[in-house]
Amino acid sequence: MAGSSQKLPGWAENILLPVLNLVAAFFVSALVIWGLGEDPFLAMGYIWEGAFGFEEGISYTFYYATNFIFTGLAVSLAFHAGHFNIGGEGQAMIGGLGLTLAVFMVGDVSPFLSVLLAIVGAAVFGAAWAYIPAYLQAKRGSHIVITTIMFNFIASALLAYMLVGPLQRPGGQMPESRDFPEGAALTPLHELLGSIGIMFEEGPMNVSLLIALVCATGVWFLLWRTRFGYELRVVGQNQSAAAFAGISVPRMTIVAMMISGALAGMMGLNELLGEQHRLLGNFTLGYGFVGIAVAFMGRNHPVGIILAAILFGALYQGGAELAFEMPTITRDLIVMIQGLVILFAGAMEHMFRRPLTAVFARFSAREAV
Amino acid sequence: MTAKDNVILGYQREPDFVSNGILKRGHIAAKADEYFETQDVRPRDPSLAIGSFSGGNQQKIVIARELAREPQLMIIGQPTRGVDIGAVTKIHDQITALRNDGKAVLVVSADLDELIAISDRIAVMCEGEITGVVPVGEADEKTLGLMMAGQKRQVLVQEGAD
Repeated sequence: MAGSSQKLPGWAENILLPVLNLVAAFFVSALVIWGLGEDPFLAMGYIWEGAFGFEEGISYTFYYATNFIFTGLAVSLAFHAGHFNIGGEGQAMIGGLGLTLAVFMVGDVSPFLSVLLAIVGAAVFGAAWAYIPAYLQAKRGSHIVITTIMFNFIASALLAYMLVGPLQRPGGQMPESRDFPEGAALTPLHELLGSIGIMFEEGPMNVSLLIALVCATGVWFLLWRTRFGYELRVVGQNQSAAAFAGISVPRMTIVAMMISGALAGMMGLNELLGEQHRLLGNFTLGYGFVGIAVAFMGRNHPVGIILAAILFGALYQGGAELAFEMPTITRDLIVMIQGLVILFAGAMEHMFRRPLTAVFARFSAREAV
Repeated sequence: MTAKDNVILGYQREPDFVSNGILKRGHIAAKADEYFETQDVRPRDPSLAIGSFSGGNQQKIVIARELAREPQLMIIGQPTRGVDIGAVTKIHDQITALRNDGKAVLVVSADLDELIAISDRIAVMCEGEITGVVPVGEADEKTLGLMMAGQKRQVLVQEGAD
């Protein structure tokens, strides 16, 4: 899909280039840590150790990664249809609201039913929230980048209103709902592993990780194996060609954005149904935005998105450990490292691409002689 | 989008290429190979991005794609622009073969040699108006050129004369 006529071999394009970008980002981060008077190797060690060094850390890494898989898939699906959905944050919030309403509606009757309806509620509300900007884009030409980002603010206000009004915990002061009924929860993976005899430390990683992986597979199948996905990609590449091929561009815009919104909305499964067991104001914590970086880093392919999500999950978890171990390093530095990863992997991607392409061109020319 | 993706563009709903919404990847790949072979597309690799082919080779892929559907009516704009000389003759042969099968063909082109080589009748336009329709036997560069500049040839506009 790369539009350039110069081509890199697949492994260089998909592995070497991202790794180079990542190394560059970590190198600059190391310089900053060194400038702060800390040992960069030690700091990187803490991040690694914090993210992958112990079972609870791994659990947190994959817990965060689950959020990023959902939001990254959401961004990339819209991107394949030619739209830049930066409303994942708001769609996740409203998805969380839909999930909560579903759970309270079912009540104590049946845990299975409440989990099932929670999934449906999250997806439907997320999709509905994405439908409005999508409709405005398709029928009125309002640019989706503008409308989706504005819808984040509306979603945030709506969530806040619900949480200090109708949904607030009775007698509570915090912007949060009462706890979900007992059974309305997704099983933590350590319990699941324990039931088949594998001991794993307690942690927040839960069944939504598996749901996220199923979604990733589903997105891959939909995009590259079905006619619908084919038409979606045609619309994303060239709207006039799509119209020529008998595809309704407005309809595809709306449907693609709704699937994207549903994926973003399902992020609440992990945060709310998996861990918090209640609806919190601003539970999305920027995961919707990080999804953009994850999608780009993962080259808009589900496999890449899973890998990028694990990377960002590791940065979140390892970063928290680093801030704990080195008092001079605050959480802000972790945000900076994430920023550098985004900068090198996304914005400055072409910095290494050109020299690398030249090197490969020279090698292949030599072979040809 | 790869060239393989492109060979089903516009026909992505036909049962040849899709069943129950799932793409028949084997069929599509076979079709792409077939088109590449018959039109001598280079490089002969349908898994490359369609945009990475030269204009002429993209043209060949499009022509293969549309001819394969055996259309009753074909409107072709600039069928050979950017195509190498060997392939030009081949494309012309295919267009005339379509005509010989009794299909209606309208070629839109700015290449007079091309029009004279493959047309039965040539309609010339100037400033949005048809200045005349000439049978190819009476068309040469000079008459066509004058008509392109606006000179009308009413004498020759005799529809149904034959």
